[in-house]
Amino acid sequence: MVDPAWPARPQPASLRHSVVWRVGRSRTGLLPMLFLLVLLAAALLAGVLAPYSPTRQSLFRAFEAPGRDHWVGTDDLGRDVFSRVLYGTRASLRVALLATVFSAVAGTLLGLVSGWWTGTLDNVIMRLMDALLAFPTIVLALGIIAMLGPGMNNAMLAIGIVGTPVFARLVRSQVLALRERPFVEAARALGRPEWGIIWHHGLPNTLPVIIVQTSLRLAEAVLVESALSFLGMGVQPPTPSLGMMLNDARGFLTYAPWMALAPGLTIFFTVLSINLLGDTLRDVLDPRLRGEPQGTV
Amino acid sequence: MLRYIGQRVALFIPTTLLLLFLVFALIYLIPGDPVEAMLAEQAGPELIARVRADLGLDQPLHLQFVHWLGKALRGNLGRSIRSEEPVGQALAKRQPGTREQALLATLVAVAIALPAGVISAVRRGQWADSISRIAALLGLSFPSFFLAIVLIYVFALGLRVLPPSGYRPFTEDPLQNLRFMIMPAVCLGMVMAAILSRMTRSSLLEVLGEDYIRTARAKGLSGRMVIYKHALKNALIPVVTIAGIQFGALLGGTVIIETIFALPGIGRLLIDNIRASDFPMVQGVVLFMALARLVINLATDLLYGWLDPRIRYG
Repeated sequence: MVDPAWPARPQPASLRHSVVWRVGRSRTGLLPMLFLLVLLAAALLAGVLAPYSPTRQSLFRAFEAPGRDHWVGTDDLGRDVFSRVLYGTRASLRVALLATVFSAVAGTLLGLVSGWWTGTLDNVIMRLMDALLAFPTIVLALGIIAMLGPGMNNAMLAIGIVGTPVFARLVRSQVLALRERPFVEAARALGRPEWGIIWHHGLPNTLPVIIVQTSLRLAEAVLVESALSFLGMGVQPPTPSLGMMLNDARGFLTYAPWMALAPGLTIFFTVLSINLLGDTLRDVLDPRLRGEPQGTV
Repeated sequence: MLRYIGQRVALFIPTTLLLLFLVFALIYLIPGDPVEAMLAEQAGPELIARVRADLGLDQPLHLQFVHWLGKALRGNLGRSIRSEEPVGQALAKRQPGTREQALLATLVAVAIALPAGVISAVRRGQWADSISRIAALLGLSFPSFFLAIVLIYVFALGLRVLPPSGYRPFTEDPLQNLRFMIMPAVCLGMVMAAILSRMTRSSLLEVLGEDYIRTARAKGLSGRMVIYKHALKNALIPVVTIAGIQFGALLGGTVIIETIFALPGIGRLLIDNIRASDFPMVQGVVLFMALARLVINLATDLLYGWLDPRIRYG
């Protein structure tokens, strides 16, 4: 039997189906989606797809140009650049994805609480978010890493914290508008508990903006992760990461430009695809947000 | 306007205090004893006790914050553990380099974004618009550190027209200074250029649809006159705001760019001191950058209110 107190809940399966279908039908959505799927598969299957171990050194084969044995050449220590890009993509995507999930979950919870129970708690949370937003992204991430120490998990946590305020503010503004809507007042009049109303009405109705924001934040997370690794503050050797490979390549640009091109172009196309997909998702899910500029590193 | 300024400043104060608290609390993220983590293993108990007292870590937390805040407000951000140099002095020494970089980057960004955004809006739907929009998307997605490497490869190692890294103060040799600064400024300004050109385009398109523009056209004014004299003035108001916010955000980018181009600035000061585990210095630089951004954002807010009366009376 359908409970009349929860009439506004969207149908997840049909929503998901129509979004994927509409994104796939648009020219700016399909190509990036396919690229990201291939990239994700390549990162997950790096162990199977990589022709060499990403850490195996062979000084006799250092600086080999791209060819039949090494498709994208070798680096200064004779390591296969293609294999390292595959493993590096895995590390970079892992950090960026988990950090974005952290930001989305923490920010959504804080935004829901802040928007629903306006008052002192809301004020404290929002001022805290304002203070966090005041830090330039990479500076706050570096400040956290400086104290916790460099490494993959700490980079993940730092990027996650840095991304939280954007979600919190966005969800709060959505919830503020929602809580005055008649269906919420109806649920309240029926004596539904506040948490129940948030779960059944607040969350599902803010989901589209959260999804759009997640895709846009993911692009920034990939950039920040690469920047941190580039500075030696993210993923630590011997695990390869795209930013670290780019930094290693700086000293050998004249002998082996492929050492920089391979990881650099991988980061670029990844971020470009996520940005394009995010734009398409925004057009499909929330046309009101169209044209809002997004900052990156 | 005074009421508007009062409101903005009233919001600014608690945010600043919280920001100060967050920077103060950073040191508590250090696993274990922060003083022992800061000092080398061979540090004697005397030095450990001195640094502990210096940082006020032997007091209760709230007193520590009040103590730290009092000193910070007087400009005393402590001393470097390695060099004993006062943090404030180190910041003052490095700040001109970063400021110059951010200003040049903004100039580069505005010089690219304004014409691109205007052409894009005026020729909406034509090839010039498509090129400008694609360029903006590429600018947003191209990592600044990769662009830096590409520029060094092309202009310093290939064409040999610019030095790959280094710095000469503007006051000593302006031409050399510009040769050193142009690549960092382009790398730093690229994202800002992309954002501003998108913003200029959408803002101008919105204004071009307004009634007063139709009236200006109906009066028989030329297209150029309508755009430059009537539309652009109003269209640029939100662009100024975004430019201000982005100027604050540029400070973060200097960390990477200064490291790549070996520029003596605050960004590199941060990285060098993180590597040396000089926590008071790291705290000082992080605080300076965040406060600078907060003040720039406040100034932008006030400027926005001054430029657009609808905001302050809204």
